[in-house]
Amino acid sequence: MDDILKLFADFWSNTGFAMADYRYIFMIVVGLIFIYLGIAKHYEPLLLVPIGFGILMGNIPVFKGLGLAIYEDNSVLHYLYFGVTSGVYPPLIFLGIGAMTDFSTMLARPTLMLLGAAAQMGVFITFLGALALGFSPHDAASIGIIGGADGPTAIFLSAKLAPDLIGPIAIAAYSYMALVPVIQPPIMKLLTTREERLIQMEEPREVSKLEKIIFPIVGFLLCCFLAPAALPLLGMLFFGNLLKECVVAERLAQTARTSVIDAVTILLGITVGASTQGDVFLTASSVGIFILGAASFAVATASGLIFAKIINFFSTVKINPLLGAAGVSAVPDSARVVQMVGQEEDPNNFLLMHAMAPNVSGVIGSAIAAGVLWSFMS
Amino acid sequence: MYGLEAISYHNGWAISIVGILIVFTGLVTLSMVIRIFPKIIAIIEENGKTKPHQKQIKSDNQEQKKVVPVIDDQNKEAVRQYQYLISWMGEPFSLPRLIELAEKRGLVRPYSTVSQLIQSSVIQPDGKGFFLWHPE
Amino acid sequence: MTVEELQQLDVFKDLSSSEAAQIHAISKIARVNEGETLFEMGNPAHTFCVVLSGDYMIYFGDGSAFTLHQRGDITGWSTVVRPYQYTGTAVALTSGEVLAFDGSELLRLVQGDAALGDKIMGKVYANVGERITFAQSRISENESCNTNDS
Repeated sequence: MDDILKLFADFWSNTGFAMADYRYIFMIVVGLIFIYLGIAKHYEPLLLVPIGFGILMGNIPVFKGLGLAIYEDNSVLHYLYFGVTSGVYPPLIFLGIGAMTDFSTMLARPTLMLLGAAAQMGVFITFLGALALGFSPHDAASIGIIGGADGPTAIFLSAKLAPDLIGPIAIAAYSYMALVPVIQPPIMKLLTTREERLIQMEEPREVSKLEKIIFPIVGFLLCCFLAPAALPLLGMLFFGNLLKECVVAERLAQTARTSVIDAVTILLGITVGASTQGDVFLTASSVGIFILGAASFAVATASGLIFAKIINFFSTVKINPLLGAAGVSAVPDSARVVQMVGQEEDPNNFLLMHAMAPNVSGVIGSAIAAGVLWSFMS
Repeated sequence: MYGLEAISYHNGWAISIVGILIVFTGLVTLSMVIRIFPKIIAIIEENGKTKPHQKQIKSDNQEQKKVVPVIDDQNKEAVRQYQYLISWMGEPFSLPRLIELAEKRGLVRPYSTVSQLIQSSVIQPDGKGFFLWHPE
Repeated sequence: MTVEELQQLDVFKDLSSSEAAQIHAISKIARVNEGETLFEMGNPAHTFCVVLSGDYMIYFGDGSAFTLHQRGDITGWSTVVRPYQYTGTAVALTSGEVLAFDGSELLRLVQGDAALGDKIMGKVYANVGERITFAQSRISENESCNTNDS
């Protein structure tokens, strides 16, 4: 009888119920909120649902040493997490992004690329803020890249410079990307006048197929000669785009923008979520990261808007400064937000197409910024 | 170490300034190169080469049976919005390209709207895979 | 859909009851939503579709296209025509339904029963013969355009 009771007691002590503490419960609630936001509210469901479920998986209290938890060397989740820590998954996602991105609006009006560059101020200003808060340079660089509003880029740089912070940085980056429709509009209205928001953009010229084929090759060579550390990300981005635009490799482009990106998104989302174990994630530095992350989005949005106004000061052909907010490379959400805010003033003002130009150049800009920070820190 | 002291200690100012300059240099250079693409392509390609679908087909159209378009309250707004797009695209135009542009401009339900315009003969095929606009 | 309803579709009008039953056995109704892609150019042709309701667009690499609006219209004929690869991309302009046939099963029926094959292929060519020629001309034009551009 004693043996039976002892066995039950041992079994009970190995269950999640016995090993749980408030940190795991808190993170499970966070995971459930992510799943709710993704499914019920349609906030970035392709990201929040895998990440939310990953958080649930990562916060089931397990007995250490059995190879179950993500941080244990011989666990399945650890093997899948390798793609995150080694920086393999983000370039594969960029391959898919390149294969589904149309750069023609950017090619038609290259000036709008500068708005994507301006938005990267958010990266470096947040970097300074993180240093000021006492983070090490490597950690600060990884936190700063949240301002690039690019999840794969943030994960890639964190994996290289601050692997311990991948979890909170990824969660912060993807959370704020999902909240772009909430974060950006007040800043956009604060920094622009009604008159400016009413500016209608000229129709862009038509871009030939040959330009769209040449661009990824020239863009890749130029950007990677300037910032070689951006090679994994930009190489895959431009390669995917070349597959799309050359037409003759449409099957490969189709695979890249469907099967490849979907499979990698599943694995990346679930393992990043699982990496946010309560005992590892709930620290003072995570709180700092979340505050800095919010600030980085706000600064990036403001930088793009202000730079657009500066361009208008010197240019005879005015651009709608709302487009500056689309330099925050949460593609295509920030472009949609520009369209929405513009149409609040004038329902006939169609800005979406124009906003895609700074939006996609912001992807290139954030990858260059990541490469630059990596090379400085190495 | 915190605050400005920490930034200076870790060379933060220099890293930030140089970093943002490199990002700007990269994208400015890329935009300047992109600006000269059309000129390079014009040099590579022959001038005055016309593409088959841009040839004048007025004589062919006159021989075809006239189909009268139907514009009513249901499609009036769509006619206005798409007329603007088509005036920019030129005729004859590519139907998938029209839908793509309508999507990019945020027009609601471009697929069914285009179908409605075809059904009401506002958009008519030219018999060669491209389409013409007939609002009246 | 019953066998009798299937026989009312133009492509299957000439079939006897037993022939229609064979075709019915390999068919299924598929619902498509606005904007949904039925098949993509270049992919192996594995589904033959007969329009039951809705409007559809088939477009090619050079931007040319045609549309289908009538019940009984056929698309995905590359399932039964060489080189058994879709020559265009089909997109639903509106929500609707199509009667979808597994390509390999249909080909097996068409190739295995000469009389049935003649009736179906005759109807396919009668209904879409011009479009097959058009599609194939689009492919060869597209290939020559690609060569010129590169």
